[in-house]
Amino acid sequence: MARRYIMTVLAANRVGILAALSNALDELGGNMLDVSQAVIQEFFTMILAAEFPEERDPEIIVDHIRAVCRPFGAEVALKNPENEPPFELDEEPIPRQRYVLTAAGQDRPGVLRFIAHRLAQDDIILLDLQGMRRESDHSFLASMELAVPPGVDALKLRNDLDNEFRPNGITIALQHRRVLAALAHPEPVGFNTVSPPPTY
Amino acid sequence: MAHNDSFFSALQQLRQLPLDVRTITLGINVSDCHNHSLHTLCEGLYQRIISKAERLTSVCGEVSSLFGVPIMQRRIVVTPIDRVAQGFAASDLVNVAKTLEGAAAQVRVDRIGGFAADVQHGISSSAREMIASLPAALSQTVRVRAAMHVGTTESGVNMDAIALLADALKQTAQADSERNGDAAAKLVILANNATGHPHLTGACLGDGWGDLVVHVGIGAASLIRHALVERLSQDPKAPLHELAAAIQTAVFQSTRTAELVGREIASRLGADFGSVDVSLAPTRRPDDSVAALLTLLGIEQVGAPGTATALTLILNAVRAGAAFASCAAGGYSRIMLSVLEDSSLAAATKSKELTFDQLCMAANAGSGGLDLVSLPGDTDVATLAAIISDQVSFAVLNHRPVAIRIIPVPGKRAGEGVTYSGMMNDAVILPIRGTGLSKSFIERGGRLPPVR
Repeated sequence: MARRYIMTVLAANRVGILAALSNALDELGGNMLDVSQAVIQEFFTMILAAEFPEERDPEIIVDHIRAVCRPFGAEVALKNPENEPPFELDEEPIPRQRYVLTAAGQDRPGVLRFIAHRLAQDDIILLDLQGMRRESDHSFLASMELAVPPGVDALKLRNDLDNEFRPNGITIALQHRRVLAALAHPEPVGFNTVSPPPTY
Repeated sequence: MAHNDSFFSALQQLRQLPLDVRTITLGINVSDCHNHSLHTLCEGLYQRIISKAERLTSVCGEVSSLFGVPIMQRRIVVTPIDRVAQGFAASDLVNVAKTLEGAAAQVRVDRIGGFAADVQHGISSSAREMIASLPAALSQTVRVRAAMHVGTTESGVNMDAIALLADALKQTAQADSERNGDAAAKLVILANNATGHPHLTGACLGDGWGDLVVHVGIGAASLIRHALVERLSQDPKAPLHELAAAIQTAVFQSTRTAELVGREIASRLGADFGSVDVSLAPTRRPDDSVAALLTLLGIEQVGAPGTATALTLILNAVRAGAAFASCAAGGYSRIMLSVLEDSSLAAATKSKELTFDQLCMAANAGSGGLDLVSLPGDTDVATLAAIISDQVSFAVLNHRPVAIRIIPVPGKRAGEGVTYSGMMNDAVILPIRGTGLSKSFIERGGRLPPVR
């Protein structure tokens, strides 16, 4: 019986870090289930879900990874999802539509805060977020993937955000995944982009 | 550094495009509603339209908010009424038109087409009654659009029908004189086009489309404008082929979006998905002028030398973009220079730079005929018929469809301004040269033989 843990690893971004980390996991008998990796400025970051043999002590996992990745100054955090308080789920999964929201313009504090509050109001789930600020002209760009419950008017949501940010020179785009797919993929529209809405 | 400049530019491509859909057209088969009793016929038509289209408006709203794409206009088209309502007098056909109006109002659509007849070979007694009913039918309804098919390349042109229609057109305008002859704008004269083309004003459900079908018309004017402005801001001296590429890309995006929206609406209504119309047309939004695109290309005034070349460039780019975007893209596309609906064109009539002859020239280069042009009210019937037959014979000779909508404005002369309610712009009536000089030609009647 395998046990599942969620981990984050933060280390110096130098050649060999992934090799060292995967070595350590292999030696522990671990197997990755889900992984997301990004390089944020000077740092290598990774968030992963992995399974380990049931008898493997969580402290040993953390210590072993730290030891193997010592040359990179790795910091490891680990959580056992079973020990977490149960998380309130929708009784029945509701069909949500996927959208991509992008914001771009002159950087100023509070943009993300406003967007996040507005999304929370409509019970919108954030699936992915990426963004950066360009130092040369202090402009920023952020893109997020959203899972939107039924009944949310995408035109209205976009207009609300646009009205808020347009005076500050920040442009907002909100596009349905299927519209993006229809514009980006060469296959005929009826074939590639019509699929039942995913549930979460 | 993880997020470098290429990440930046990749994300920038996700910017909002001014995507929209110009028309959603629901085609409803009403052939089996035929009945010799007027009451039963009207009741059958009304119930059929209500039952098939009652969800159209709400479904359009749902899909529009789902995809974040506005839908500008919703239309219904039915089987040509001439085939369903045979053997009725003109006054009965007015009641049929009012029934269509009532049903369209009930389901909250903007237009209903199908009050139409084919008269390219000869005029049946039913079609004659329908033409006679036009002045009352069109001036007493708002949403009903009528169409008459007067000629094709294969069958030739029915000049008798054109003369009859020119007369009906003038009477229709007269019957609606308090609204500057607005009713005449609701009659379209078609050639080379079985009345079935679903996208024309006044179109009907054509043959072979099944019982319930959703067609969609792209709204590309604002997207093309956006693309051209962007390209010109990067390079104000961009050569024509680069601008053509920008138009092509914009039309591709527009066609893709329209098809996605149309298919979703069709599946929610349980209808077939029909076709995508890629004609370029103005909408009521101020920036959506087709003539303004010519200005961006460098033709300062529609009708100036070079207009035909610019229209050809746009039309070719539109066709190329649409053909790659969708196999459902309609077989033909055109540029609609609808004077009263296009803010730039309407403004051009006021500046006296635009003449009627230039419009006729543009109508034969890329555009689909004289569309929503207001003419002096004292133009005689023979001259109106001659104007119509000129357009028709050009189209027939060139194997392409044409749609003509002209309004002889009652009581107004050339140079006077006209104002219409609704989506039309104010315009100035253009003078016509040589009125009354083709009378004997038109009075001969008969037919133009087929083009070989």
